[in-house]
Amino acid sequence: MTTTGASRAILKDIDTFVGSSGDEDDKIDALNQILLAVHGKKESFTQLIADLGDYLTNTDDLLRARGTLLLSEVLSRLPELQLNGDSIMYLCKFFTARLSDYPSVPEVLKGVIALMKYHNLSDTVVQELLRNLFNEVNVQSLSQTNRKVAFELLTLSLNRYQTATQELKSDFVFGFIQAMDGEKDPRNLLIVFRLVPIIINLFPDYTRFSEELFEVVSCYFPITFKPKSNDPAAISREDLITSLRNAMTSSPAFASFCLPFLLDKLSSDLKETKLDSLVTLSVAAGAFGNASEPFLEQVWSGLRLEYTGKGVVDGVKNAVDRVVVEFSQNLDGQPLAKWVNLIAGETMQLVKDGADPELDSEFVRILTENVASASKKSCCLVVDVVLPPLVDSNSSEISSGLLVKLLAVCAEQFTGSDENPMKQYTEKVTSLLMDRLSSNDTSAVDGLCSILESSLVSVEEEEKAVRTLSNLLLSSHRGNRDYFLTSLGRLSKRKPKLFNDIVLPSLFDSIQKDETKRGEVYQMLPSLCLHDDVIIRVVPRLMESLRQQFGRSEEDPTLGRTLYSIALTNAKSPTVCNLFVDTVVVDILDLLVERSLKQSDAVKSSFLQPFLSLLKVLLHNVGDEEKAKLVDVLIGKITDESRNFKAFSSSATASQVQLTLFSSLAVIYSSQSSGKMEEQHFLEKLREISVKNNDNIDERVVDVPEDDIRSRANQSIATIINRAEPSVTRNFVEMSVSECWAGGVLQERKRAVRCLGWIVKALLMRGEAQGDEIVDSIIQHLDDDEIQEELITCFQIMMREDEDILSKARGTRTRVLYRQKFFFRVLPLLLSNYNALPDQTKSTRISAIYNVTQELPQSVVASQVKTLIPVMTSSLDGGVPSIMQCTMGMFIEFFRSENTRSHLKENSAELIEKFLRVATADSRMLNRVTALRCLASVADHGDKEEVLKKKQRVVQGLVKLLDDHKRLVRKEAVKTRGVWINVN
Amino acid sequence: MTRAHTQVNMTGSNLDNPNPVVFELAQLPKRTYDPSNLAEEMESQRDDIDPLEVFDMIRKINDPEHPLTLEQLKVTQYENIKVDDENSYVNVRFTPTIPHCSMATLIGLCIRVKLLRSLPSRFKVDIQITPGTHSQEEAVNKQLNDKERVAAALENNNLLSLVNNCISNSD
Repeated sequence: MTTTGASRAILKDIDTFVGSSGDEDDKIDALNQILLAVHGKKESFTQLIADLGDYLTNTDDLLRARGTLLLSEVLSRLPELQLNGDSIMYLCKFFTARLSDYPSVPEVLKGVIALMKYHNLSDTVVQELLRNLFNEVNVQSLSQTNRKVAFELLTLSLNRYQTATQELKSDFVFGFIQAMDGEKDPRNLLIVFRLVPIIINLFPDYTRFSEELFEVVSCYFPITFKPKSNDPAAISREDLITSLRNAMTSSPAFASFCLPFLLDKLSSDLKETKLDSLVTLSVAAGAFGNASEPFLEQVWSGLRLEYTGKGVVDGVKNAVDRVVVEFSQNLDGQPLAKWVNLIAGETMQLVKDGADPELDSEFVRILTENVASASKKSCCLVVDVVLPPLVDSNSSEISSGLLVKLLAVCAEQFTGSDENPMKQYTEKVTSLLMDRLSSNDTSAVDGLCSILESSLVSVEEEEKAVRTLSNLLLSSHRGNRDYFLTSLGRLSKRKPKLFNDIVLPSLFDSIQKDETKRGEVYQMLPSLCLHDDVIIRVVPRLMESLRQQFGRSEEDPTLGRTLYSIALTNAKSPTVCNLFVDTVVVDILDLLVERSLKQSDAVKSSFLQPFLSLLKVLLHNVGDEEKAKLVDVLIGKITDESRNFKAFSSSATASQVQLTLFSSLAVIYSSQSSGKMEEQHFLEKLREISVKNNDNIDERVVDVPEDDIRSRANQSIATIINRAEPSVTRNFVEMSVSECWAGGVLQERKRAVRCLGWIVKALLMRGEAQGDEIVDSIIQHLDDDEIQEELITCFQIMMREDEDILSKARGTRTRVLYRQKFFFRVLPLLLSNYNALPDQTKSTRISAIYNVTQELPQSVVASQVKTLIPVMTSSLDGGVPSIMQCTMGMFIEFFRSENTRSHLKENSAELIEKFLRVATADSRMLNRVTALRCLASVADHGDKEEVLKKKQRVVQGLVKLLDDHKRLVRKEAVKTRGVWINVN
Repeated sequence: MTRAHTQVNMTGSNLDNPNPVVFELAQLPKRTYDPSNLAEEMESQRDDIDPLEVFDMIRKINDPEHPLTLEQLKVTQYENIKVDDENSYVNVRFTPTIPHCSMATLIGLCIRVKLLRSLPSRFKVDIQITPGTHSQEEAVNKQLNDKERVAAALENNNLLSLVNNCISNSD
């Protein structure tokens, strides 16, 4: 009973789905019902076919198609449907036959895909299906989606039924060509292009149709396709171009069609076509390899035109270079020799003629950078072609440019190898270059260095050449010194030993012989010290002369700069950094300490600056362990009481204050904390510097490179506190707080408050509860007249972000969104009982809020605008100038930002009245000006309706201000009135 | 007096002077607001209205035909402004770019309206074409200084919106 009921329901659903009447929703419902029934085994698949009965063979095209569609839907939507071999066979036969039934082809294709995807078909069945598809279906006559289904079917057969498909041999290739010929839709083209390389790979028979295949693919080149912004398939131009490129170059058999085709396209005037052809050519060079041989002359003459043609378009030259490199890399044997001969021969001819120096150097560049650098093989071939005529000819006419460049390429290609093709020519080349050198040809230096680098000559020869070079360097004048410096720099990198043995001693000897050379030599050193071994030798020498220099009346900054430059260029080398940390920094500090004990005046800032920069570079580059060690050493040296060293006491001398700066910087820029007891000691010392009166600091006796030594000390304190364990610093913090509230010398108290600001910042950043406690007490003390200004500044210090100090990059411990959290906590505290407060207190609180909001993103402030507006509005009546100034400043900010603007809309009317009153009645010019600016902001961003209502009143009200006795007010009034008149 | 000459009309447009010469801005006397000016003791002191202040009001008025200011075209110049604050009198002369410029009246009207909105009402303002620079100098001058004709012109909504456009970004 139930079964028949269910079947009846199914029959109804089938009728609804297949029938031509009824709306789309009903059909979908019906289909879902059928799917549920088949899935839940209430209806077997065979039964379903039986139930469909007449629909599958109906003479009505539409009904027949819908009936087939139902079958296809069930097959594709129920991947796990159990079908026995017979059913599958039956279905395949049915679908294969139906492929010739034009009206229902799309539905059939859908079913076939489902069958192939979810069920295992036998080889013969698949072959039968594909044959029928190629024979009976004209793919290009279908709609886009159905064409896509057909191509997906081909892809599927290649992936899942490879052997069966392969057995179709050339039939498949031909069928594919026919199916894709004329395809226009980019979505389908993408599939097709990707199929081409696969087909070529799987069907060796494609060669019968290679021309046809290339033709149907290449007709799309160059692709000019602009994807629509709302394209759901999101096909990009690049995807299409790359897949077409791969398709066109997928077989060496295409070479004979592809290369002439691309060369033809290369002559196009369109930049894009040119570039596309060039890139495709470089891909082709890789794909075709030696198959390109018959076309090499053609290719080179095409490329040559691009090099020599007038008005080369940007980027084209690079692309041409790329093509030359690709050919030079991918050709081999005879073809490669042919290719190199083509280019080298032409270059040699040009160089010999010497008619156009610009063209010469361009061809020399192509030959050396693109051809010779491409591979060892091509390099050898170039040398074989170029060197004999160069060396044999009485070559004084030929520029040494080509030779020098080629030498450099060989040195690069054959580093540490014995096969350098230059070997057989070394003697001649060396003597040639030496000749050149004596006739002042500086480029010969480069060549000589390349020979030395490649170890082509004997040890004696080597030494002789290097000696000549270093003598030339010392006697060179400024104009051509750079040549020697770059060349010898290269040598120091490659042959440090040779450099250390010959060049360095001669440099230092020259200083000893002639003291005036010192500066010059120091300036040369950074360009020469490029190898760890060299630096290890140089640095101790430099430190020695630094020690001698220290304490003389005139300190020379050159030495410091040299050390800094060496460290900067070699900062990536750990050996160098460690060397600097272990010797240079510690030594300099020792020297500074010693000097400060003997002399009280400060070292010149120009002398100290390079060392501070050096410190920054080192701390940026050394590892964590080294950093901690460095900080330890610095702090240790300075806090060493036994040396009678009073860098931090109030009686510290100028030179001792400098030391503090030095070590403070180390703390700020290192991201490590040593956490030792010295650090606490150091904290207290720093506090003394920051807070206590010291004439040397206040009267700027100290010529310090950094502007404010007290801020540096504060920043150091904050950095240490942020990193140290809270238990270690708790006492220090408590003492700092109590010192602020206790009486004492006013100036010192003020500084203590600033210092406290930094301490609180450090604590707040890491989310320490102690920080919140201190903020509470700061708010309580806001009424203290004496330190009010400093307390307000504290809020700015706490909120401001700086990349260099207490930032994440410096390893600061930071709680997420600490500033936002601070704002939300502190705002209610500052506003509590606000209206009952005396004017003075109101003013400081508003100023504090102002400072906080200034530093926060407006989106954060926006959430609290509603709380702030009543307070701000009422303070406009107060008449206390500083409150009004602050408040109006905040209003302007609020109007300016989109986040906060909307909250002010409902208050527009009230605000306009208040601003107008302040503008016209306030006795202070600044308030009038700011109120006018506020009025202009309301007109621009306030509630339109209210603004229009008030327009007449404001325009009239401002007339009075046009004759204000202060010019600034008049100017602002003219501007604001203009804005209001234009409101409509 | 430098004047812009009509060049060949390349654009084929109907502008009176399609290619006006754009001048470098002239060096004007600099006015610095030192902070002491903001101090309280200075609050009561009066700053007189001077030619520079009036020039500031009209220099950035836009030319009706080009996206350029009157200052850039040297239509208005600092030297051509006389101000007598005590007696509440302002005289402004302007120089059309070409002698038969049909925009002269409109430019004059813009200057008139801008000053009307910007100067205190006690001022009498005379606006004239620099003598010898326009073919219908007298007629334009008469029109610009006739209160009733100015008022009538501004009742014309099209004209008013033209004027408003020209002076909307003039500070």
